[in-house]
Amino acid sequence: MSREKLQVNQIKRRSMFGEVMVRFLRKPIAVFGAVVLILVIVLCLLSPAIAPYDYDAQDITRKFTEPCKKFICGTDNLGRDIFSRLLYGGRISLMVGFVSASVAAIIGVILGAIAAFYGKRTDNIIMRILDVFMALPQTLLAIAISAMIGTGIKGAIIAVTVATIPRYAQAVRGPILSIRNQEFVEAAFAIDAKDSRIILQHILPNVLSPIIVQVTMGVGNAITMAASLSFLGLGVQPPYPEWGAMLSAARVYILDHSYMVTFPGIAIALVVLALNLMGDGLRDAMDPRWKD
Amino acid sequence: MLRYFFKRLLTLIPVLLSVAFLIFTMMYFTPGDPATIVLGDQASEEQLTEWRAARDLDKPFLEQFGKYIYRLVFHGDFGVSYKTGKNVTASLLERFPTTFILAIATCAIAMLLGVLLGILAANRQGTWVDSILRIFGMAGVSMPIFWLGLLLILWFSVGLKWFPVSGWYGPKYLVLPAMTMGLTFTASLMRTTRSSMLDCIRQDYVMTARAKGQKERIITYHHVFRNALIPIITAAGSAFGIALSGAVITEQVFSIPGLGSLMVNAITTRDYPLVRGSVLLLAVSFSLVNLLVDLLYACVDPRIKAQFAGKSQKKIKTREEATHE
Repeated sequence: MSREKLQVNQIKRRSMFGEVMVRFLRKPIAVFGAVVLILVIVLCLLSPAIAPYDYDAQDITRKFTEPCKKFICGTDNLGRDIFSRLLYGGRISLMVGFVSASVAAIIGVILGAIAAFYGKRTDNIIMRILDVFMALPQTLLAIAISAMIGTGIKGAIIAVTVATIPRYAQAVRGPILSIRNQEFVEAAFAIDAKDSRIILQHILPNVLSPIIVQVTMGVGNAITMAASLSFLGLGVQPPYPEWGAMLSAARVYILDHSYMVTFPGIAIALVVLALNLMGDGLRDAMDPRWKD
Repeated sequence: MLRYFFKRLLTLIPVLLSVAFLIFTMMYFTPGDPATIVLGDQASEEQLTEWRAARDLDKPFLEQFGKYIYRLVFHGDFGVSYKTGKNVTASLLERFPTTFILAIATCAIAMLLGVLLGILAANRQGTWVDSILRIFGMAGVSMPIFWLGLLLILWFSVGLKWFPVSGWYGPKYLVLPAMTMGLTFTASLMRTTRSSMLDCIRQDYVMTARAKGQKERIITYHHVFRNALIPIITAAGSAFGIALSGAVITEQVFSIPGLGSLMVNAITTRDYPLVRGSVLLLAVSFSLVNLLVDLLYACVDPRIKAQFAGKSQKKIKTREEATHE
């Protein structure tokens, strides 16, 4: 699509999205990431229909079956089919990742936008509070929070969300600070637009691309963090087949039944890799320096 | 410079006090009565009251926090473990060196490999070397630490029998845990080094250096690398900080008696003084490393050094001004 054609048609918003999509689709690795991710999501959503067994169906007579035709990923110490558990577990892992990343992004972006927009004391108060949270490394903060609110899926989501909010706030604050003084924002002030309107309509669309990239990679980060919590015994608890929890339970059998450790790990690494590839591709596609 | 250092050190105090407050509040409002958890359901009401009184747990929240901070600041006393009755400070000091050694080893691996591979990838941009390194970098940052640890155990301990599976009895036991965290950070440091080098390679002064016939090696290390250092230092600094907390997971995988495993055990047994102590100690180390990173900027970049040396109102020189001189 040539630039002149765009100007003639005056389709500004769509063209931005369309242009990004075109550039994204030109990157085979990024598209590969997107395809893998979509495939995993679809498989996990359809798990009740696809999974050969129930995630909790125990059968001691078939415990520790090596991967074979009947059980493609083998069975665990209670004779449960690992492949089915991975499918069901993917729903939990993906849900925890997507929910916590999006909630954290929404809260973080709002906080960062308010801080940067109003400046001075508001900025100071918000950023100092976030400084306290950022004085701890993310994973450590998530561990400390889950120690307080307890284990379980809800606990893991809250812990990961709270731990990652500061990162999103910081990511939007910088760009907004530099946009805030530009002419179009001044113009909006001049026609007496409401603050909320200026932030939502004029400022946020301009910092959307870094946010989207951050969120894409943030989902992967959240999945890893939630899996780490479960691995330490602080997140999702058995019998729920969250991937980190499955790894944690399989650890004991690593010497004799290594396949139990292999598959959940591959699942986490694959999804996180897909998200990172997508994030990288999106960043390149949205970066104005790459515009042709 | 020294003034800046002390100023930054002073600003750390309120942040760390707030962290202490945050952790204290979180532990205070955690559901469950510590007295019942420690003494059990069979304990009589008198025993419970006595136990609480001995640890000031019957006092109001602010008084408890005040006393905790007072003892911490003026006596370096983190309190006494609920479970073992041992002094928390002593336990922390006993465990900290292990975690610290692990973090140092991790960073050594990451900085050496990450920076070298990053430079290599940037110099060979677009070739198969670059592609392989990029795939390695992507895989490295996507792999969860605990899984990588388990895989390394599978390959090097169970398969090749080169290193012990777990424990902490000598240098041999350090290799796999340090490699686990080191490889993850190598990947991220390599990516940062590569992109930072590529940003600098496109600058005019590199073209000038080439035009005057400078040797390629000198251009890489003298012109490009030195200018690309700031993001690399940032990444390395954060790697060290994250290594301190990544140790929580790695120590669990390899059963290493460090600060991280102390903390996780304390969380599962609800030993709050121990949890507070270990989280605080990790927060202090993390903040100090961040401060050191900021100071390192000044050593690397004369523009930032000039900013420290001058009066506070002296404006920061822009890149153009600095290059004009």
